[in-house]
Parts: sequence; structure tokens; C-alpha cells
Amino acid sequence: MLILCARELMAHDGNYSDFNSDLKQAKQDILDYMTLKTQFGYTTYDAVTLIFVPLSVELCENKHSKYFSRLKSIIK
Amino acid sequence: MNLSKLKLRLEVNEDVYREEIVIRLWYDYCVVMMISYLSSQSINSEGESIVVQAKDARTEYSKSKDIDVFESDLKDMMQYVLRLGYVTNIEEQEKMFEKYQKLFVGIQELAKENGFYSLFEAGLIQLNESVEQIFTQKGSELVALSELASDSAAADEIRVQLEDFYITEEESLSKDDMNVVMFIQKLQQMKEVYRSLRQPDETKENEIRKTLLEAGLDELTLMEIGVLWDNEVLGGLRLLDFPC
Repeated sequence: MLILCARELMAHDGNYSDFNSDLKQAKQDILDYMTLKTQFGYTTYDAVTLIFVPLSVELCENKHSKYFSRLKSIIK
Repeated sequence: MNLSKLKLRLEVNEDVYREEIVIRLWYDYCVVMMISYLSSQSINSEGESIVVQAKDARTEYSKSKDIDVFESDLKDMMQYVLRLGYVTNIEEQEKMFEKYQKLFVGIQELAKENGFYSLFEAGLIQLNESVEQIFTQKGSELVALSELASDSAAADEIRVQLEDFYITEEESLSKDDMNVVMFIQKLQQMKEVYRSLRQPDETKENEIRKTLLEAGLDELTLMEIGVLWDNEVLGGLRLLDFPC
């Protein structure tokens, strides 16, 4: 799901400038869903997956932010 | 991919931008050069005209050998001014202008001291105006050349930065299967270690976060992380289960 969301956002011309906010929203939707599914314990998703997903998406966001900041500074 | 399109757009814009700058500056430079050339021709003919006047005056003032000195100094000054065409920087141009002014005043004084200034006054004034004009135009030419060099350097700098950026971008989109396999193994090991964890536990969750970072999660590329998000690796509900 995350793969599809990330790739769709990257491939979609109109949303590219809002990549970070779109990815943040996608992350939030998925995290809300995972939280909902684990509200009574680590059943649908195990603890490692529940920590890994938001952490890895956050790292991706940071990497993208750095690239775009750098690109903006070049073409300003 | 969108990044490729963006890259292409940037390259095209950069080329257009660079081309516009170069065309504009070359146009300015050519106009200035043309004016400079015409002014040089004008000065040359004005100078020669005064030299001819000096030769005529020699007949009238045959007893004065200073007419010869005047003619010689005038020729030297004209030769000096025509060297301006070879000047390539503002400092040199300014030094030449100062020296020219001294030469011109010297010639004026020589003519005044020997009583034939009135014969050449109009010609000398006109010549001086033309020479001052060409010094001004030469200044504009040097400024245009300087801007051309500066903008060209700026465009080159942008190109270098973009090339560097694209290399980093390529690296971020690359995928080393070995990195992925090793991290999947690490994830599986961790899942095994924490299999018995069934209820939220802040201490354990912090421990898992720390272990993931220590295992090098931050060093993985975007593509490598993308592979790890696959259901086959993570487990849990499949895509069809997600309420989009």
C-alpha cells in the first residue's frame, strides 16, 4: 500500500509539488488504520511492523525534503 | 518517472535561459563593438585631418620647427589612442585615458606657446570629444564583456550543481539487493525476538526503534525502503484489505 501511494504520488504530475504533504497524509491514513487494527494489541500487525512503517516513511519524507530543498536552492 | 520529466524541464529551461543571456549580451557587445569601430575610424580621420592641417601650417610657419614637434606628438597620441582596441580590462582603460589627457594637454600647450593654437583649436576640440567618446564606449564594451563572462560562469555553475544533484538522485533511486536481503533478515530476526509482545509497551517500542536505526534503516535508499514495505516482507493485512 505504501509503495503504491509513494509511487503514485511521485508519478502524478499535479501532486508533485505537494509531494511531502501528500505523503504525510498517506502515512497518516495508514498509521490511523494500523492503530485501529492494533488497538486491542499486536494482532493484525506485530510490534516490529508497527514501529517500522512510520519510522521508514518518516525517513523517506526527510530524504525527499532534503532533495527538494537542494533542488530549490539550485534553481532559485 | 516524474523526476526524469522535471530533470528534462530543468535542462531545457537552463539551456533557454543560457541562450537568451548569451544572445542578449552578444547583441550588446556587437553594438558596442560596431560603435567603437566607427568611432575609431572617425578619430583616425580626424587625427589625419589635423596632421594635414599641420603640414599646411608648416608652409606658413616655416621658421618654426615646433610645428614638426606638434605634428609628431599628434601622430604619437593618435597611435596611442588606437591601442585602446587591445585593452581588455577597465583599469588599463582608465590608465590609458589619464595618459591620453596628459598628452592632449601637452599638445594644446605646445600649440599655444608657439602661437598656432588658433589654427588647430576647432580640430583639436572635435578630436578630443571623439576620443573621450570612444573611451566611454570602450568602457561599455568592457562591462558587457565582463557581464558575458560572469553570466556564462553562473550558467556553468548551475549546470555543475544540477549534475551533482542528479547523481545524488540516481543514488537515492538505486537498489542494492544485498542491502535489502540483509535488512529483511534483520527484520525477520526482530519479529522473532518480539513475537511474544502482544500489548503496547513503550520501553520495548523504543528499543525496536533504536535497533532498526542501528541496523542501518536510515542508510537505505528510497527504492530499498520501498521493497521493505511489501506485504511479503512486513506481513499483516494485504492491499485489498486497506479501505482506500
